[in-house]
Amino acid sequence: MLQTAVEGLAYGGLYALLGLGFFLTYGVLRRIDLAYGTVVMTSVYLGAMIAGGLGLPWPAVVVLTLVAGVPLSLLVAYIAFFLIRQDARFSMAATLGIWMALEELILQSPGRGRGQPVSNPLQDMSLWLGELQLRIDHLLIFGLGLVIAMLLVRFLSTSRNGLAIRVSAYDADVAALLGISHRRMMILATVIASAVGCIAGWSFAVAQSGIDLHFGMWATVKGLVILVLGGTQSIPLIVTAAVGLGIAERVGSELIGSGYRDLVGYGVILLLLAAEPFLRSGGLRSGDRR
Amino acid sequence: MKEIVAITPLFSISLVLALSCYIVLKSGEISFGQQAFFGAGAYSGGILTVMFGWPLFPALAVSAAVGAGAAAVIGFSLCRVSGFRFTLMTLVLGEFSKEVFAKIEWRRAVDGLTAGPEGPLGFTGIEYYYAHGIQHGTQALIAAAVALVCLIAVWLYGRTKLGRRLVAVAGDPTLAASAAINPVTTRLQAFALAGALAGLGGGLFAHQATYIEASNFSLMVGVHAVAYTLLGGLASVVGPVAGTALDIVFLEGLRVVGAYRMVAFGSLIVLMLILRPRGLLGARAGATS
Repeated sequence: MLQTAVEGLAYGGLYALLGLGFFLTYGVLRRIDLAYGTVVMTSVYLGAMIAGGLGLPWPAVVVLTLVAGVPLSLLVAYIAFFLIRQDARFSMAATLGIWMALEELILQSPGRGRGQPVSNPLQDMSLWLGELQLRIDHLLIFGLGLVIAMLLVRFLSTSRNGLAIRVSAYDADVAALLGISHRRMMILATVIASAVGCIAGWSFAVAQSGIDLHFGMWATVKGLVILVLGGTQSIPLIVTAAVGLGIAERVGSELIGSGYRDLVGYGVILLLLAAEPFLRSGGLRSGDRR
Repeated sequence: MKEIVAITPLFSISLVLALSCYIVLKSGEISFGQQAFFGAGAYSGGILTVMFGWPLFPALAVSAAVGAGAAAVIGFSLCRVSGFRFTLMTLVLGEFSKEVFAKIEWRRAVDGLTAGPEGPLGFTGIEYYYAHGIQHGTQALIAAAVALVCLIAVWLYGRTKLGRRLVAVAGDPTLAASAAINPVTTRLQAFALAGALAGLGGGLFAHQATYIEASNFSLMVGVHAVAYTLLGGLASVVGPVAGTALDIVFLEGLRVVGAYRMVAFGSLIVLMLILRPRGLLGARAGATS
């Protein structure tokens, strides 16, 4: 049981990163990007495919992922959030159109949508605490989630750009009066969110020794769930929700049986979401659509 | 003629599902989870005709009832949230039910053979049409008739008090509430109706396909149904018809773009939302804003 909970920590770290990506874009843009996970998947996929094809070492995958992911995210944000502005629901529907097109393009790519291997430099390295096995790569994913979350907190609370993002998220008109370009902040938030997402996607692919098409929508759903559970106000709450979900999913599927892992995972989330309107507390208000 | 007979069932079933999404969109929300009720209807309809020897139409009625019931249960919580939380919950519901369908295992001896859904192996032998000697032309006619009935029902619903209340709630829930319209109840009724349509479409689909499995009810199915309505426009029930025709006839039927169908379809949605956000037929009347 404890072993499963420890494994849940790694997922918690991953969920925290995905949740932070949505936290940034939703905070500043007030838009939901349903193609977020798919853009991340596409970038990691391309990175792994190119690096695999050319026989490059593992750091090249990270670089290629970021090189593909950041411009792609900016393009999605430009199309879905800038060209389509009048209704947040239309923006969300447009990101789904992009999701469809990207998945199909991956299926038509030289990789043919088959899983791409991603080498794991830390394979088979574990720490033992008595009976407890701690996989180094899992620990690193969890650590990465915490470190990036802390960096983001520092960035948002102390740096000039971070403060500008917060003003912009609070009220675009106030930001404009203070001489902050809302558009520049939207670009900045999109870039940071996509970089965080790419790192999350890559670290997940490393831990799984590969990446495939399913990661896209899976990552989007998990990130959004964290945003709903953790709320849009505080990064520590996001991280707490992510770690909680990671552990709850693992322990839940351990109790019920591994054949039911996805069933339990989605079931837990569905129950939490269904219970939420009746418990309504710190999270988002229902009127947040505008 | 042969082509029309071949494409009519697919068109009709897609249209029924699109109409289900149309009602949810009319309530001001986007659901990417209607395939859950579609699947529930498909499994229950198939189980009744194959395992218990029911005739087709009573089985379809039960499919619709199962869809409506499932929608009412989830709607109890779902209709209290709006915006992206609504959409997210439907998304999770869709993925969850897909996992559930893959676990449905119920075998029963029928005429010396065991029949019924076999979990991840799917549900084979839903051969009602074949067993009763119903030809392709008649099958197409049944599907078209069901779709037409649904179309008329949705059109009528829009003209009743309930439909008008729904539009009021979608426009402004607070204003509607101050006019003594309960937003939650109104949306719950609409969602149950949408579930009934999806369930009915699912029942039809199971008998048309003769074989169903969990992957038939993936997110892609729900997203397509929403996209049909968005493409066609929300102004009237003609919108979903036009949107469905656009995809089924041009992209699927005529194979204009070959293997890149999804790329074309996805780009088409984005382009439409940029150029004509009210849909092909929705330029004049803004149904929900």
